[in-house]
Amino acid sequence: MSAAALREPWTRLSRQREAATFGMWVFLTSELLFFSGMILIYAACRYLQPAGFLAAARETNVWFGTINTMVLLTSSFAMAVAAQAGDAKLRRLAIACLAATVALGLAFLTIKGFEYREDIHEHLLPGAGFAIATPGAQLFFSVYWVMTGVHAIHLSIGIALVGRLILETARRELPLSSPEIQATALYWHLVDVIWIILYPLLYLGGRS
Amino acid sequence: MTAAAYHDEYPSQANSYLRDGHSLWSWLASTDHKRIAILYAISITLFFFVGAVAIAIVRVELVNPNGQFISDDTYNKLFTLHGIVMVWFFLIPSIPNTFGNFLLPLMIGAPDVAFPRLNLFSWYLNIAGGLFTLYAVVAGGVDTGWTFYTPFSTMFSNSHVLAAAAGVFVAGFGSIATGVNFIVTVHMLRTRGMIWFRLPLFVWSLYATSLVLVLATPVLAVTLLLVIAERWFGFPIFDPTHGGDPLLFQHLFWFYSHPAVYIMILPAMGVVTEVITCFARRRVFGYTFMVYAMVAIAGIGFFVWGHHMFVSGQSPYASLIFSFLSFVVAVPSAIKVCNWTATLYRGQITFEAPMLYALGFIGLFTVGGLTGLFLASIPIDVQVHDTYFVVAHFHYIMVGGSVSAFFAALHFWWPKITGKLYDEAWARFAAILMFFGFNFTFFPQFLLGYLGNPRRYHVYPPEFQVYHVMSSTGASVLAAAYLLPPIYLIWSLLYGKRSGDNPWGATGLEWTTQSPPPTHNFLAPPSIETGPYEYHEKGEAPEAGLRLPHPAQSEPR
Amino acid sequence: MSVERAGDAKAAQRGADIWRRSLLVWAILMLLVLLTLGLAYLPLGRFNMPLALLIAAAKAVLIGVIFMELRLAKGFIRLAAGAAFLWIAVMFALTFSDLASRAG
Repeated sequence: MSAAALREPWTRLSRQREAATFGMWVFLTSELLFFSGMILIYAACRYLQPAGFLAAARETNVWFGTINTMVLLTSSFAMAVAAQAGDAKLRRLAIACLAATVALGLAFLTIKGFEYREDIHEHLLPGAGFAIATPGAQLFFSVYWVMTGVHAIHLSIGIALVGRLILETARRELPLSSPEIQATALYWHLVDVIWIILYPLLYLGGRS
Repeated sequence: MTAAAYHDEYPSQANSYLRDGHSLWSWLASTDHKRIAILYAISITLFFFVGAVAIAIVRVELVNPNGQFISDDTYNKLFTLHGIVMVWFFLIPSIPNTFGNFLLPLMIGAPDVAFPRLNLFSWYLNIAGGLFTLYAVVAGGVDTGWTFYTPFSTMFSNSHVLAAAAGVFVAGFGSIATGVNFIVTVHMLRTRGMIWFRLPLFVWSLYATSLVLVLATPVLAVTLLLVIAERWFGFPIFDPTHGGDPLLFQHLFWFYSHPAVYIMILPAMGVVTEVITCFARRRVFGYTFMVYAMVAIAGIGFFVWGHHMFVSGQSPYASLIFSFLSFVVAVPSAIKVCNWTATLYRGQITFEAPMLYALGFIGLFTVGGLTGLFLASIPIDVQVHDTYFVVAHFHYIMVGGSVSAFFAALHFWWPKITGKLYDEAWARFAAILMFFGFNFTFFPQFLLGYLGNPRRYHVYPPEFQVYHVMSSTGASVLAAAYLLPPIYLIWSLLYGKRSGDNPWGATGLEWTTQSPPPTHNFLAPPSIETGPYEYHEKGEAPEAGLRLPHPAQSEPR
Repeated sequence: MSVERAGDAKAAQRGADIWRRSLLVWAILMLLVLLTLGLAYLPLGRFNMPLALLIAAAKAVLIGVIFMELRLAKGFIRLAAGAAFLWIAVMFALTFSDLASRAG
């Protein structure tokens, strides 16, 4: 079984796992730089247009945002348990928690979908007919749509990866000792960490 | 161990990687780093010709000051095409993805890179990006310049910005994948005894380059994404009428694009060290300083991007900081030039084609680097920004530097990659022709820029015509010089002499295995006890009278 | 039969251990979300956002160190994680050196 997971050029599975973890961390570093570019734009625009940002930040739906934050944090919890269960060779626990992760991820996207629908309904899409007149408010929402959209794309990729893990683990094509479970878990946690930073930036401004 | 002892221990000939599967599919689906290197070599050559044709038309147009042959719009699209293709689809992948892919595992004694499937995927990302970009060209072109400055690119350009931006975005992920692969490979697949400070400097250069690839490219990706969002969805981000700042685009763009030039030059520097040590039969002078210099270039290179923005409206205080840091980043490069020169001292120098290219690199890179210092000085930059002075500066480094090193690498490792020897006389002729053609093309541009001829215009005051004619004439010599290597190299593939494992008598693990190498690189994992460039005992000059035999006559040393 | 049951019991025990370890972290994360939500409604002026980001950083560190196992990771992995933040800091600092010091 463990031979199935071993790939060239590796001669020992433990080294391959270390490499997969290290490689994923290097990739996550690049992902952090990717999102920080957007956060820099947010910070710079907020610096240039504080009034507009304050006025706009109030209009995001804090309940959708907060619930989604909790959903995603719980999914990280499930994913962490899944990864550790995989290490401990607890097959059923691992698959159950991977499934919970996917379910929570899909829940996030569903809630996001409702949120987007509401946003569009309230004319919070930048362009003609935008709801808030304060200069700079459209900047906030441009950044909002781009950041949450790109995050949702990353989350969807994560869901697909975890889904694939479930299928291959259930069909016993992928051993629990496979490096892919650890690597996918790291990616999932990063998507959560990104949201954790986006949450205060997009939902908690202008509330007091 | 010496080549002779190695062959004594592992006498059997394994199948070379070239014979391991003959179908097209065996190449397009190969996870062998050597085959992927050749896939990249083919694609970058094709892209090079696309970019070269674009600029050939430009240089013909510029012979005449009145802009008679092509419209303003077409001219804009041509230099944009040249920039985008040459930067992202030729220079960035050139040395790392061809010679880096081929040689990195060989030089560290590994059977492949850490993630072979990811390696293949990175090539497909590069091709996909290239296809998007070519679509943009075929559909009518892009006229923003390769720098995509806002708000023109986001709000006013009527050209295919989205397709081009998408193409570069996709190709960028190929770069990141390569960076991840190389970093993990160097950390985790070095053979026994290959400690960090015994690595060849080419490996160190690839490592430093990979750090830049991983940290800088994602910022380019997000910048292009924002341009796409603003242009396609109409989301104001860099739009001044909504309170946005177009300069933010430049900050994000150059945060990537300045380190990008170090992606283009660091591997070239690694190649130069490999070639100079071999053809001077010398250990490299100051190995440790060379390592730290490359890492310093990669690091400090991230802190200087504002020197592209001195006249853009950037705060003078920020400009001061960037100017100072730009002077600082020149120091490690200067250390390297000093060390290459010191490596040559008391060497047994011979002038094979790789050495000619490497020596050319040192001269041309120095000119380019020194003119970079002029540009780092704010008062001078205010005068020459957006003139041909800048164009000449970066071409001296990118073409005089990187492309020279690329050709040095091509000739140096040709016997290893193909198992054949190229014709030395033609190769030397091409190298010298290239050097002269290059200088005739670009030196007049320094003068043009200093005298005030702006870049990106095809109409210019008639007093500048003599320099443009010189430059265009030089360009045709350069073009001829570029056409020679494909001819004699393909000839060598078909009719060339077999090279043997180590025709140059070079050190380095790649020379201890067959030419061309077997699929898994080594018949058995090698073991290392000594450092790189052991051409002589430490502290001694090579023995007087010891001549390097000509490869056509040589046995493997 | 009894060997199997003993094996099952062991597995169940390991499973429960894994749950409990992570459950504590999850509970702290939930509390931090509620805290940050509550604090957002307090009129703290300029300090609202920095405080919210500080709490976000705390959540991120918890996830990084425990869920992503940085506490167990080798040195070069922690270096990779830390390097990103250094580079992000430089990107922000130098960009703001321009934004913050422009005249008018």
